Amino acid sequence: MKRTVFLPALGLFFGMALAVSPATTFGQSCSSTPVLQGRVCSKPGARCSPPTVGSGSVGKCTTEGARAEALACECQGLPTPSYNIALSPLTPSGISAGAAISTITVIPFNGFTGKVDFTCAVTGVTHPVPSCANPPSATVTAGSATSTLTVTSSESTADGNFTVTVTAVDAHGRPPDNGAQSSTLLVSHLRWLIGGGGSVALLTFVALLALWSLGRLWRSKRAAQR
Amino acid sequence: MNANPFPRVTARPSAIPLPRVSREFLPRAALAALFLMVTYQFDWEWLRFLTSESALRVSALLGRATARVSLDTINVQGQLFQIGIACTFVDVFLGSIPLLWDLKKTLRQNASWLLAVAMIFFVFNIFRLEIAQGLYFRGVPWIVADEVLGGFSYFAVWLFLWHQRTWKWA
Repeated sequence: MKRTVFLPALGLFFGMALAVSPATTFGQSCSSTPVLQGRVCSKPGARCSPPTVGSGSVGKCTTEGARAEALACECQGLPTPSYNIALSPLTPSGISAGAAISTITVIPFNGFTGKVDFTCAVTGVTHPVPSCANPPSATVTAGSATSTLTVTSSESTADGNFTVTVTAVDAHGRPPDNGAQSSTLLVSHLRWLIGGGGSVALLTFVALLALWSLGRLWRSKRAAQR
Repeated sequence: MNANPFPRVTARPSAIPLPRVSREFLPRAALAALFLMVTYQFDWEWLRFLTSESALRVSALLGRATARVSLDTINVQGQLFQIGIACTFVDVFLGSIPLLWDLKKTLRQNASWLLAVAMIFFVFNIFRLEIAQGLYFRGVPWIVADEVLGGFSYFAVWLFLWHQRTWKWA
């Protein structure tokens, strides 16, 4: 008896909750479709993965009704416009003297628009480290925006592995949801062009060929004398 | 009047008879030189990548820390190695074609034989590149590890060509 009253009451409660919720609570970034456990949601109460709802605090995994194995990513607050940054690996990943380039992509969420400024820093055990100019700002209007990170090394740069970190702030001084991003760069001034083909290789070959030819001639002469 | 007790005698050392190079060899040698020149008219990027990738993987199998840096440059144990045209052995192979071609065989038979030789040379080349790297990492100067070993490799190829020859030398 008690059970039969409880279930409709619970349904009524959720129905009312949905009815009074503002429309924005179910933003486009937030899936309301039940998904299998472990795919998007890991456990009830956990943040949605990937955190596609601004700061991530508004998207939470909830259990879908009586199906314990089915979880949904449900918005529980107003989505905040925000962004992530992604850094592609520096290309080439190893340089002697020259430049390595990486693409910074700004991924907006919940209608984020505006300018994003970048700063970069290079750290490493050895000094002097390669230099990096602050990447040009990117302006998000619709969809993602990109900028280019350039790290340069000269003959005076020390050999070693360096970490290049890019930080970003929007017009309101807010950092990206996923924080600063890093990439690594190897600087080595030692580079060997392998495979022989140089003068020493040819000299070695000619010397061996001459010795071999002389040996053949000597053998043929001895054979003729006999 | 006075007889010279030491009469002047003109002695000539017995000359080693040098064999005359056959007419068959000279055109083949000229073609080999031509093929070599043609080889260096191309970048051979795909082969440089293939060679560097093979060397990279063999080095990784040998337990060395490896990473690709660019199309023709690999990082092995923190050391950058750039693969040039000469280290693909493509010059050696193309230069060998006129010396390997058997006039008594059909085009197909020659092509099959050359394909087999190309594979042999490729494997041999990777082998000697790995030996060069191994020697270098054991403290042998690079000029010895790579260049002198390269000279020995060329000579090994010459011996192979000599034993496979179908042409008359003299």
